[in-house]
Amino acid sequence: MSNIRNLIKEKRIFLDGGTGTVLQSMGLPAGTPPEEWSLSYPEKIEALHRAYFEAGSNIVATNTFGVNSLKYENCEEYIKAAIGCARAATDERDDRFVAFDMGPTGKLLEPLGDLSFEKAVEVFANNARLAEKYGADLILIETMNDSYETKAAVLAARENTSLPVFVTNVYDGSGKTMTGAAPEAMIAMLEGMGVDAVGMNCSLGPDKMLPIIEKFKKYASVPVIVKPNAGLPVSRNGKTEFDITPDEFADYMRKLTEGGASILGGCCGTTPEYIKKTVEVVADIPYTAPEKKSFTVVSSYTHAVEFGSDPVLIGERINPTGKKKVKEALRNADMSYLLSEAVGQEEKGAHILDVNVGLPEIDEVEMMKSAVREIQSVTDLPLQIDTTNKKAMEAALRLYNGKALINSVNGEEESMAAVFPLAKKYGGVIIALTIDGAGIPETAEGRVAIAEKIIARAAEYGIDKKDIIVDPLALTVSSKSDSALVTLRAIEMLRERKILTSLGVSNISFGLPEREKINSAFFTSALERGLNAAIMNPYSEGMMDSYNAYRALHGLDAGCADYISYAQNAPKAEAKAQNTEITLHGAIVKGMVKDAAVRAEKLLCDLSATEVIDNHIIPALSEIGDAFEKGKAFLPQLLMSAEAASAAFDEVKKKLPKGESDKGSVILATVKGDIHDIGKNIVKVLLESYGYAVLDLGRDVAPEKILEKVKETGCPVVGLSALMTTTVPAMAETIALLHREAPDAKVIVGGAVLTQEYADSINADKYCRDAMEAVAYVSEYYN
Amino acid sequence: MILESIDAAELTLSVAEAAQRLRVPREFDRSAFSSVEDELIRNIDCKMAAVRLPVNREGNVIRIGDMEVESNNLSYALGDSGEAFVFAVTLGMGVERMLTRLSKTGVSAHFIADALSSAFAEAAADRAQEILDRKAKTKKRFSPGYGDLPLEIQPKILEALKAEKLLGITLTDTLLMKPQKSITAIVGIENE
Repeated sequence: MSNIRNLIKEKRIFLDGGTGTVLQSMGLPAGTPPEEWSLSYPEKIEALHRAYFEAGSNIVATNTFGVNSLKYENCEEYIKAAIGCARAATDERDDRFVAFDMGPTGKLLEPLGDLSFEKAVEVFANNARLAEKYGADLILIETMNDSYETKAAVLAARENTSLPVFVTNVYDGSGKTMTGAAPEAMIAMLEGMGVDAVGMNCSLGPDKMLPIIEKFKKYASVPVIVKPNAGLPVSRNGKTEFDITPDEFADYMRKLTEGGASILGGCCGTTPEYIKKTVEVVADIPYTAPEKKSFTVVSSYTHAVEFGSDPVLIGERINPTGKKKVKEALRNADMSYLLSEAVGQEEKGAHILDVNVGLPEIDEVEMMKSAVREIQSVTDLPLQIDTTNKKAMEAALRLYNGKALINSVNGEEESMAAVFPLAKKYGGVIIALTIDGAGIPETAEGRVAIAEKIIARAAEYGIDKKDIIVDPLALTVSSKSDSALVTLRAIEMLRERKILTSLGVSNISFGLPEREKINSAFFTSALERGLNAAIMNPYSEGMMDSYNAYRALHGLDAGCADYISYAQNAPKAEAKAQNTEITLHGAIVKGMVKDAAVRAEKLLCDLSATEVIDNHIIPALSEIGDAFEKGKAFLPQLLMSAEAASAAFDEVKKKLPKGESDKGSVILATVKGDIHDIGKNIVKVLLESYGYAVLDLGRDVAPEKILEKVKETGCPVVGLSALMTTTVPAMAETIALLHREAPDAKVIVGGAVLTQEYADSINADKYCRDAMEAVAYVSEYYN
Repeated sequence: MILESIDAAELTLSVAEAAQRLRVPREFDRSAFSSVEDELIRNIDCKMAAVRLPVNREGNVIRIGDMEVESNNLSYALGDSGEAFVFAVTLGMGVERMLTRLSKTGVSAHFIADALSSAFAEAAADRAQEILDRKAKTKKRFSPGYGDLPLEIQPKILEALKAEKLLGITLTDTLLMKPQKSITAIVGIENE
């Protein structure tokens, strides 16, 4: 049999068209899933496939789009029958292929939805194994809206079979997938994972694919698939038809072929006639193989970041090295600090965020997983996975939604043997440090030699030079006066060899005072020599000045628009946070978070922590609390004040010895099955504003997990929230378990659907009508 | 099948609806929340899909297309209509992502964004109904989960609209729509 992997690089290939529409015209009742017919009318399914082969399709897709273990217990039966139907239609001809059709699960993945990534992988893996077992020639992953689900499907196919993998996503009128991914981001991730062909299907119609095909032509190195639908269904004389005719469809397919597509088929509403017309219409267009591209690109679930002449900023702040606050956050598994650093660096203009969570006393693998998951839920910047722990690196690359930057590999054999297979499997651009067993060469030539050795070794693993960025290492200039010059020379030499570079810039000033001054001057010098990326602190004004000025001076900033907006905005924000007019009291009442922190910090220079709490924070909270009770202030204002008070409290806590800072602690959780967390978060911020420590277990929390936390911490108050009638029973179950296993713990409950009566019936210790009542109860308890 | 993108500028926020969701009085000055509101509007990617289906009744059972449901409230809302529109409208995944981010980074901004986006979702359903009204005069709409119309009908409605493919709407195990700020409804068409 011809090899499909080679075939798609040698000639144009035709897929089949729609299934559901054709089956309905053969008598499939509306509302009956097409896959039922693989079992009940296999001869009709075979006839459908045969009609497509006769119309000119080289590949038909099995009738398995909606089959998966979340929907069916007997997947194997459906899959075996469906592949059997398609195989029979090939008549054992070696120019006819069977693609196993793998559609979406119908569920949205976490963190937005409720299906875990690994569960999705498992569902797809089950299908992929069956596809290979029953004789499919390739796997066609199609109609995917979400890049994360697409990744799960590809991973499952690659881990469990040796079959070729084709992938098509759905792009809408805005040129992005429904979950916001641009084609170049999907291409980067999918090619990184080694898929054989990429493209698009379904969508609103072939006309809508015309602007998008240009992106595929520009960025894709593998053959491009287009599988449009026939427009939208319209009802004509009681019959469902589609608004694009076979001739119009074929005309668009000709344009899409000229635009760079080489694997052609149809989706909803298309029939063998559409395929036949398409085959005829493109016959005179010569086949051209896709060009291999040399872009160096990382991606997130929305967009790609390209390395080249425009410098890329990699935010360095999520890293415990030399940062007390990050260390503390990691030890306490306090994600909120890391998340605020993520959002903050994005606001300051970082393009990529470095994530390093390595501390000797924590489980780095688990921490890395939760950091990647959580950070990707608050920012769509691509991440740089920064670890020397191979297991943590693999866990992060697996879970990461996109094509990551990998930090790092070095010239030692052991390092390359660990990192390259991971990059090959999951995709990624690798930062290569110019150091090996013999240390860091003192000369630029020595560093370039290591870079070249690493690139050559990567090639043996099938990793392209374009996916390696070299860090020629900055060493502190205070211990060796030519160290900056060596690094700069290495950057130049690497540029001459068309090798991209990145640098941890601030190392240059280690041991010197006023480091920012040296760092920013060195950064400018490095950019002048051709540096492509820097790992840096986006909060550093000097560094951001260098970056913005460099771009304006080097023709990278049309009309200096970016520079102007930078220059106008940057200082203003600072001035606002240091508003000297307002008091701490005023800042809290007005809900000004930054001001509250700044004022508290100032007051703490002269006053004791207790004085700041008793004479400033608490009176301000009382004022807004009273206004709220009297109907003169409202919930959003109360929340803003609470956030401001919490920010002030954080400053106060810094002055208090550890352990003396909190007035008491409370465990909060939204019960199992419930994904609403607003109510719980409101209670949390109010409790924190009054100085209580909140152990927030999040939403959808199992009763056992809550009990475990109570036992582990000895925390005597548990707050439970439920917002849906369907999840109130889970609240009852949790209370019963706590009362049985931890009888001393008090359980307070709240939520839109609860009443005093219901709270009594499930034996809650206290029902709170609103968040202020919860604060009152907790205050009373601890007093 | 009707499928349309609705520009955020076409969504008119009801002052009463927004105030109620924000838990402030109607005359409250919302300008303090304008940065959240502006970001929300930037993230709205509103789409609707609708199908026009025949309505049949057998005893207590209402059959709309191939969906069957028992509901007095829906029955009352449909009245004597022989046809109905079934529709779904969503503010899109950008709003969902924004709410997810805020849920982890800022309680007050999350509360405000959640309240305003609920009000925008209502505005989107109003706008969707206006669009349908141009094709055939509609009655009062009714949504699953309200009154005695069970949430269990949601999968059937979304399937009839190909809502996963066309709008990106999926369901959680507890039958909540994702994106959360989505509305499905059934609305009777006035007989000619």
